[in-house]
Amino acid sequence: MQFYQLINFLREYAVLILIVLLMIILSLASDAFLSPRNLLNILNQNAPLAIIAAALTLCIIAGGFDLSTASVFGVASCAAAWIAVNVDPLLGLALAPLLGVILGYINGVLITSLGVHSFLATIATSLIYRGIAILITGGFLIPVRMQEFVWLGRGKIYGIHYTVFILIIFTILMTIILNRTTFGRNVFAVGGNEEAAKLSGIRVNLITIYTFALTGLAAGLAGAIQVSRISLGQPQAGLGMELQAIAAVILGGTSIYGGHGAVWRSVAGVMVLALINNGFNILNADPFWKDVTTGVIIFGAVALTAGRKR
Amino acid sequence: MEKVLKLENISKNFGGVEALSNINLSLSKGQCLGLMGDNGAGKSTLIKIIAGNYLPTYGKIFLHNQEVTFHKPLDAQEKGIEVVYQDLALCDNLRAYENVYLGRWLTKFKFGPIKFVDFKAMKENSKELFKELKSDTRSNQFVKTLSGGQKQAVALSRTRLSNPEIVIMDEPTAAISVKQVKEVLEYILKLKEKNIGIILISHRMMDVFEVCDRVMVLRRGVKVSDKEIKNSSPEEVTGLITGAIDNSF
Repeated sequence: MQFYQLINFLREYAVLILIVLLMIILSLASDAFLSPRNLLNILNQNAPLAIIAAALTLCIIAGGFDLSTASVFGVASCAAAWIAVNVDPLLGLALAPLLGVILGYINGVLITSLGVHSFLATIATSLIYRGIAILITGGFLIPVRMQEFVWLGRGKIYGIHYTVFILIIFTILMTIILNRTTFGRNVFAVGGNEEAAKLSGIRVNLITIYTFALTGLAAGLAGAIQVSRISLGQPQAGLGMELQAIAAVILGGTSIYGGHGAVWRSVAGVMVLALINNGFNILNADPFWKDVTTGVIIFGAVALTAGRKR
Repeated sequence: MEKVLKLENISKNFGGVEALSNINLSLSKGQCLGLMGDNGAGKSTLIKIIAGNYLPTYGKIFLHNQEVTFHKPLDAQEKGIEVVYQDLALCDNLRAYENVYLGRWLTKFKFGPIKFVDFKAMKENSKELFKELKSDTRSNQFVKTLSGGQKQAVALSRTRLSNPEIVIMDEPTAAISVKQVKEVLEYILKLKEKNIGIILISHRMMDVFEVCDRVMVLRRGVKVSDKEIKNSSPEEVTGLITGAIDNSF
């Protein structure tokens, strides 16, 4: 019995155990690792991905799948840069998350009104959105060298980047929404048994649309942070990020089948990916092994979740 | 007695298939109507129309002699129609009390459009509801760990949240133990005492003859019998279901 409980505990908190293990290994391997500066850097660098993963958690718990986050991220960052150059830098930063909400909302409406699986619908919209990003920039880079634009990504308070605080606040907000509100309960219900949710009077389509709009909001916000940080709008921004975000959510232990999960798990999942990345950098190891290691760890996490289902 | 529900010439087509044709039905307050028929006879389709899951192709629904149209389950629920579905319509990933209040969450306070759930009240109230049903279901338990009877208790508890006028039960006694069947039947009698109209779908002849006042038989989407239970018999109903007896009114 106790052995069984131990196994369950390990499964439940696998992602945290993984973080602790990685931190122990990396601090033994390198003196530079366990400095506050390095750790804060990891948080800061991965804040955009973690913000997306946090919101994506709700979408996946409700049984959805969003493959368009990287494209929304790209459009939002290009639009922010374009508006900054042509209109106003602050307006550019402010409109990026709003644009994200709109694109996410469109995802949700397409999925529910056409009855297509979100996987297919968001593959299609990701191509469209990426195309829009290229149209905005005309295929070129948009450099934005303005102080009013770069503060969001580069600004610090007490030596800590704003983005770290934004990440923390966003994570707490998503957690409250998921765990404390009627909307959050509906998200779990829709992911657990869509038919039952519908029969109980839950407006399943609306819940689905909202989860995609939230994910879009996160992708737009992440895009604003990133473009402000590098002060350069590029149409290819965030390429591949959608898969990293999904990997982080699964790695954290949220069920890919919907119905189970937590926001902190996804942020922890991002940190696992980040630690592996950081470890390879500070150890100067062959980057070929980085992808192999990441892949093996994701595979292990999925195997663990599959075991829990049984 | 006052008619609480009346259906007039209800038909339902799915593409070229006629699932129901010209069904008339009436239900009085405190009356229990047994709805019987073989698989595919149209029972589930009929209750899904009453519950707002389907719109009828033709025909009208009246509540207290007023015509109503249900576009979604919530419309029917708001008019006092509660349904206990055959598969119980529960979310395995949520706790018992959350399933009782599924989609009807109790809230503590509002922040703009965001409503905060009152977990404690739901938990406490569910505990009371389970006690009334003499069920040993613990309100904090996850539904996937519950037995068939405990799940049934969760589904039945939902009918107590509002003051329903009509309760529809789809096979509430299938797949539960003998003792639990007795409790479900007692619950039906209690609902009748409260003047609630009940439609009971069941394959179990014994149950129908124990608690129902009337029995209606469907065969291939057509009503073949609708009479007082005391004027019928299990043998006759069996004959009507299988088609050995053509019809009987």
